[in-house]
Amino acid sequence: MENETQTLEILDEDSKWVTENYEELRKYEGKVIAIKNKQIIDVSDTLENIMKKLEDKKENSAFLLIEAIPPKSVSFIL
Amino acid sequence: MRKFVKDRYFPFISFMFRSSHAFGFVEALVDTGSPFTVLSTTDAIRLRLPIKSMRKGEPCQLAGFTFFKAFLGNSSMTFRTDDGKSLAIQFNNMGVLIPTKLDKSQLEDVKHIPSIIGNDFLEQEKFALYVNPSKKVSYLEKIE
Repeated sequence: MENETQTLEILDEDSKWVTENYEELRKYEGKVIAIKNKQIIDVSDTLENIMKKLEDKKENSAFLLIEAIPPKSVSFIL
Repeated sequence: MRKFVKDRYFPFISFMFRSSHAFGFVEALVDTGSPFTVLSTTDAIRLRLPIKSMRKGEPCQLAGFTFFKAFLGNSSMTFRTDDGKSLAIQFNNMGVLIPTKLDKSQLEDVKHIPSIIGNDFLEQEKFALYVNPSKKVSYLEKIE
């Protein structure tokens, strides 16, 4: 359980990092990015491609933050 | 809560999700306008849920797209408390947003839609939501 809490803390920090740096990350508009330890470890055009690339790198996508950056011309309101 | 923080959805809450089908990290938008708690299609793929066999459930619409709201059954969500401990919560109403059309185009179109913590979860656990977009701070508070 302690490991799980530590993992959650690290991923929570990644989430905050994305929020705080979102303006900078907009340069990846239309792309999908994978973040680990506050670093971008992969960029792809599609979710399918990034999943394949992460698998090739032996990265477990279940414990990564994956963010799809919308195009600047599009706003999403739920 | 449908505000943006510099164009990103906000507020997000992170947790570890565990069910008989999946285990992993989830970042979800707390949406007090949503009656339901759901995993996004992107998170379902990221957690390697068998989405092709999950095309069943109540139809629902979100952001102009139509989904099946598939249910995952017994699940737990583990949160990190402000004192660094973990808080595991049993939640048996977790849905998954499965597009009614599962082609590549549709999956790309819905990839921006986040997982959502809705009022069903907040009510079950008697959570109140604190959010301060200007300071990018948000958390859930247990109301005893």
